[in-house]
Amino acid sequence: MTDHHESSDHPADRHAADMADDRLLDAILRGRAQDTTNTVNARVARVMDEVATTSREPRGTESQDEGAGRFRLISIGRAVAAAVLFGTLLSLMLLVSRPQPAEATLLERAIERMGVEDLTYAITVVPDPDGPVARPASGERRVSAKRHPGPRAFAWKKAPENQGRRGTGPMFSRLDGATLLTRGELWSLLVPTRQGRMYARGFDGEKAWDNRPDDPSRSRSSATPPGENRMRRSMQVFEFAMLDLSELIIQLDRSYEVSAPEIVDSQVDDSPLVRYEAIRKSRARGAGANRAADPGKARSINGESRRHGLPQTIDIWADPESERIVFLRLSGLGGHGSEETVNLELALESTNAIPDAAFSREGYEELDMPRRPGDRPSTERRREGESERDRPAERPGRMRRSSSSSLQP
Amino acid sequence: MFKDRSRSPAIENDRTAFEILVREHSPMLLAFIRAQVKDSGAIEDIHQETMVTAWRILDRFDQTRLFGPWLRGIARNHILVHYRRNSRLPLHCEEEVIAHLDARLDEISERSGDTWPEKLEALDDCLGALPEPSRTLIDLHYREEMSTERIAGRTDLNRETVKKRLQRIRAALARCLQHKGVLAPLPTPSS
Repeated sequence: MTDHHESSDHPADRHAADMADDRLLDAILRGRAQDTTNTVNARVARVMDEVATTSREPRGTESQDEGAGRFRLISIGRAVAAAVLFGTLLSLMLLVSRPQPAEATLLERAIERMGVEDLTYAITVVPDPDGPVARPASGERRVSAKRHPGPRAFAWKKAPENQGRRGTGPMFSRLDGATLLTRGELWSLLVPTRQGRMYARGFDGEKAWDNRPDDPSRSRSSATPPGENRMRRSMQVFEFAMLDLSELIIQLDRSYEVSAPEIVDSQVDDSPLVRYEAIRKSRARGAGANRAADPGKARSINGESRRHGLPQTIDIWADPESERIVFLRLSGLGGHGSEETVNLELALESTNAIPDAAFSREGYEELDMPRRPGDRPSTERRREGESERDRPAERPGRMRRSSSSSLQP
Repeated sequence: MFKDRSRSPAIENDRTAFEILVREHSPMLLAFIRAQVKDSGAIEDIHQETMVTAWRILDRFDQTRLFGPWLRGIARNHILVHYRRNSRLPLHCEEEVIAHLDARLDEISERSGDTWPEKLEALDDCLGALPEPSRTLIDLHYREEMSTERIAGRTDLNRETVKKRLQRIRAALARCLQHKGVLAPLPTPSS
């Protein structure tokens, strides 16, 4: 006999207990009257008929602990995958900190599903309307805080050609329009380049790869084509943020205020979604008193707090019917060297089977990055010039990676 | 015994074992669903969807835990979907009520007895101890599935009185089950 009622002496608890007993007795009495032997047999037969045509899903290939450990690996695409998986781990943390039996089951299944299914996520970078620098009308892609953004998440695809995308966060813009393919631990990150090519990077289960030519000189900035260098830099920042996220997962309960799950409407269809929101705790609260509880606060690179790369808010939308995380938004990601912040959105685009080749280098054309300045837009050349002039003394806060955290595959 | 059996068939991993699970846990699961959903067709649908979902993801079931609560977690999601499909708020899904309901079902599951009716056989005594008018009201409402409105039309009572009396009878039965040790006693409101 459980003793859960011993502490329920509050009138509200008592009321809930009385109501639960009333409903339970009502249910039991209805069952006694309606569930004859024939009814029960027919019910079981219906279930077993359905079971006979329903295939079992295999257990996930890895535990959550193993998943968390993977986040510590350093590579760009892995970091992007972390963005998706972060949502699942966040959900897991929610279960630990705030048990919600029904939603817990949903999210647990969503977590496990991500370990075995082929999933395609579209990555969109949009200006953060709530960021320190207010965005004008071009930032209208902001979506309701509570409703699933639906097709608007892919609005950039509808933009006229050559118009460019509206999401232009300085450090994350290169990832706007990228696609993330995942199959358990396998993943590919596909980033369209300005030249209409596709930069692909991924992990095939054994090694990380990308589709750049096997040219040893490209690992040094002096020999790296400028366009490629810029892309890598922006992705470094992205990884930077994601790595912080992964570390943050461990201390998530201390670093974020997590809302209770709520049911929201989807703008895509009539199906409901379960939404979680995690809001970063205020800096004042985390400062000084307990640095260990706030790992992002304790470190800095070149004088810039790593917390600048962390999202202010994390929203997760899970579909209880498909048991998938359909949308993940990391809001308020700090732009490097800028007060502007952006939102990173990962939207589930497809659950169709992905060819095996998509997870290996052989599946992609070799990427030949432009080597002549004239191949690149003038704005890009101008920015690069500024970047060269500023580096490193004028902008000590600029993120630099140490050799130990090289992004080379 | 019940708990042990609840765990072991899941390990068997085949349909025969799963059918045993279905038979054992259906009454409990139906009680859980019926406590939140009134429509009989929806109850059957949710029950079936829950069982099929459980079968589909059975390999993910943590065998160190009880099967019943896991099943109810799945059912809860299907109930939420049901309410949303019907554009209605899940009025019967208050978290505190569900928590008490979960605890009550666990209490019953822990009782001795191989089947759900055996675990609840004390209810027969409780029903037998009811005054005749109360037993009649129970029979009309549950066995003959008459609505409170129809019962009111057949008796001299108005509908609200019928509902209130049925509620009091259920409360009396709950107290009886507490007295017999099937359910844990609730504290008095003044405690």
